[in-house]
Amino acid sequence: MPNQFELLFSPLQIRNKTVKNRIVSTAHVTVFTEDGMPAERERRYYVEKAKGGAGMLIGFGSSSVHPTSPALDWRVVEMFDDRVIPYLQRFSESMHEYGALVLAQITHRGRRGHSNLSWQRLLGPSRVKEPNHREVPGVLKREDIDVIVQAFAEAAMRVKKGGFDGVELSAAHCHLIDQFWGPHINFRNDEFGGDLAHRMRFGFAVIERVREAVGDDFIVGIRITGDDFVEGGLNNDIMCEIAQRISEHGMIDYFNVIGGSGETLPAEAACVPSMNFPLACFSYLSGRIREVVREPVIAVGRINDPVVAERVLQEGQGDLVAMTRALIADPYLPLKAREGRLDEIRQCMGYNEGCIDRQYRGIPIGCVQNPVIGYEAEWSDLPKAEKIKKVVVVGGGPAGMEAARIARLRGHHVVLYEKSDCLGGQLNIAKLAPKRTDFDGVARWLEIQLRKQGVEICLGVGASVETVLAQKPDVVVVATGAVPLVPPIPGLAECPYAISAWDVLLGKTPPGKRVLVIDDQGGMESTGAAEFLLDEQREVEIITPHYSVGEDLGPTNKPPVYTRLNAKGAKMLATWELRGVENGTVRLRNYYGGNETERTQVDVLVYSYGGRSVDDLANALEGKVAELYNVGDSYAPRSLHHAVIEAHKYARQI
Amino acid sequence: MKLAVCVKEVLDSRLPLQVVAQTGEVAHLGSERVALINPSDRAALEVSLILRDQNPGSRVEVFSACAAGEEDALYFAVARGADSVERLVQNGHLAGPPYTALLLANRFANEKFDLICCGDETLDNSSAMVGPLIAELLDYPQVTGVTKVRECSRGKLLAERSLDRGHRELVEMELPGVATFKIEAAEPRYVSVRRLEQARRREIAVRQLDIEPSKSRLPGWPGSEKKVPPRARVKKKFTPDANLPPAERVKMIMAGGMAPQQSSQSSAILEGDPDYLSEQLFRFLRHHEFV
Repeated sequence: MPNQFELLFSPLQIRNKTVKNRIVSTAHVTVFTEDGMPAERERRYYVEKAKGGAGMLIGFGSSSVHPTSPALDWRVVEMFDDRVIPYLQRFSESMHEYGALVLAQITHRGRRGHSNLSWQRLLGPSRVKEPNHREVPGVLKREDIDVIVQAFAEAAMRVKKGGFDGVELSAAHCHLIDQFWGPHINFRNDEFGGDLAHRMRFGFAVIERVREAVGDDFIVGIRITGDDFVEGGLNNDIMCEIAQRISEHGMIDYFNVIGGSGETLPAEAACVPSMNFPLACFSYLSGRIREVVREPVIAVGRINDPVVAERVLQEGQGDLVAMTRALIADPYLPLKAREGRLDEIRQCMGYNEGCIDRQYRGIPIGCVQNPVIGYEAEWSDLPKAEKIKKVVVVGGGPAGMEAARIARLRGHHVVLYEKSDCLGGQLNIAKLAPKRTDFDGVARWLEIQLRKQGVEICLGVGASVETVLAQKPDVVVVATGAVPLVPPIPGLAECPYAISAWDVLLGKTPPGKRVLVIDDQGGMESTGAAEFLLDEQREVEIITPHYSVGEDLGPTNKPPVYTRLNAKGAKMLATWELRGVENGTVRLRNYYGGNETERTQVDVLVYSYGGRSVDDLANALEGKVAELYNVGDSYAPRSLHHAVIEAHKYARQI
Repeated sequence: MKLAVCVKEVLDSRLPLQVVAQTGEVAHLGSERVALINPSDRAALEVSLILRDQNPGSRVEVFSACAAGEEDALYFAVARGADSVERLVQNGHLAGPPYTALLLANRFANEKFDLICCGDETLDNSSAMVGPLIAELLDYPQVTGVTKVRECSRGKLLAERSLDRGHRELVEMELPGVATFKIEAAEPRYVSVRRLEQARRREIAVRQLDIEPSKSRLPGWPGSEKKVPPRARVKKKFTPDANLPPAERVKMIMAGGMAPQQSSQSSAILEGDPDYLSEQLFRFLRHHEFV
């Protein structure tokens, strides 16, 4: 299909620059900075995207124009300091080498954040706290406004001096500019508050001053929301009006349109739609904006694949497509798509736990599928092994497959044993939970790669010590995974109607209407199983010893899960733990108070305590082979991210 | 001798074609895309294969600067017995004969071929530029429009080339050089269906090259920039009513734009024999003006 990606790979003029294709990596926080500066780790992370062929790279999400903008929680770039210029120069040179346009986002977060790291007072248009961070800001005085507007202009100049092609003003995620726009936030009675024209004054002041500073030969874009999904906030109708006025004002070169806002937890989850959302779920928002503006529009939100991207463009929902997470999962997506190597693209599944959910917690981003992210300096090259070895991998889950892939790519002879009849391991269970089908993609990609590279795959073989040793291996990688943990709680192991969350997803639940789910694991296990049973029209109560059900779910995963659990009628009870099971009665104890209660007439008891390592083979092989690695859950039951990183790390040492 | 052949696939012009208004490009009328090797490239390939047979120890290497999925010409060459085939991809978005020539010339620059054979012109663009431009870029001698090869050995090519009104000119060229061939230069050899099928299963090597027109002696070529497709029209998409509560709007989006479940008035399950069911279905469609 020669013209399959006709629009995706056509150039587009933006002000005085031409972007070589329509693929954009939008601004996001990486938490890679050093002392507020985008140093080597940040640069290397972006170099891969530039090399991979993306047309436009917007770096440095939420970088601060002024010290009063909260910055330390996510370690964003401090664009208010001249120190940044040399870093920017080095950064932009690297990107230009590969023909990518490079822009930087600048913003003032206003009241969005906490003041307890920098001890700089929070500032907002009015004394209205953000529901998400819940800290009351001070009110911006007239002279403070001038200072911040000037700070925007100076920060933009630093970006220009840094050799960038442009700058993006963030007026999304409920930062200062859109805080001024919001009728539910801005209650000022000076010239910056009141009707929409007045509420837009601050934003226009910023745009005008920035344009005045950077001149005509520099791209100035703006990131806005298409609908903030907040009560009384900036809905789609208002945003179309705002976008139209900005377009008519004529100083902005492109619109970058997200859905959601950082203001509330559900809206924040929508900003970076996880696998709970459909693909390209917010393209209707950019489409609506595109109808009222003349400038190019970037469509944003789970555009994870070149085919989806081309469709979004063909349907006129955008002139460019943001494929930020798709480029994290596979920075070489553009090149592979261009050359028609579609099955080599490692597709972003929208799990979010590896990237954005880490960023919101202030820890450096990665990717649950792509271990190289964040470690480009160490891992972007994969040198061939000096001595070719015979490698036996036992276990075809994500850890085993990643280990086999890397070992094979390095030139070793690899045999992989999997005891079931298909590869994927626990992914094959995880993908059965509602809205988790996309987990399938992880195993699919790995399997395609293994088969392509010529790893010998033996399915249906539960490898014993003898099987392994019969291969005369130089190296054995054990990745035999885990089974559900059954803790020693009186009556649990013997209880005929008790079942693990894993078995629920595998469809083994005994009949019965009243279900009690014990959520100790704190992640997707219990909530997924609970929703699975709710979909079977059962009555479900979820009980957890933690402060909330699904305690460890990331900020972009928890709200959608809660939305559905609530809509489907789940009951939840926090801070209670399971104490015992006897004859249809389940005893519970308060984790803090120690007082007890019980649930009677329970038909099904679902327990979720995470996994227990299957390490018999690893123990038995100890001392019998020259090199032995035990990776993933068979070492200790943890996450997919752990499994992939660990397998990658050790397979590089073989 | 080392022989290079440059080939391209073109749309089969024996099937109905149309010009796409927005891009000015040619496409088939139906949905089926039928491509074949450009006829004069086919002749160039055949001439090279004959020369290989006449000069023991020779190799024929076939190249095509094309996108993935446009490898028909290369499969054709494999089936006819080319020693190697390669698809060339550039690291940019420049399209048009000069850039094709630049890409091919870059590929040939480091590897010495005795004779580079091209088709005289293609069925689609008919620019007849690629062969001559390769020669210029490599500083090789060239002969265009060859209708017959008389002799090719000991560093020389003796060939007839076509002139106006059916006249022929006998020319001699020093090798290495570039020759472009007319369709009549050679008839393609017969290959069995089995070999054609086998060729289809062959993995085609891909090589990516950087081309920098600014650093080459490439002449300017107006209109050679890739055509930018027109700004696509916005297709109306499902948009939740802005006045609905935010939680409802998010739920609608999470459900893929489907309306929340209503009472089952709008849906009905019918049972019965196929005749009755199709009758009912047709009535429903007619009633709601779907048909």
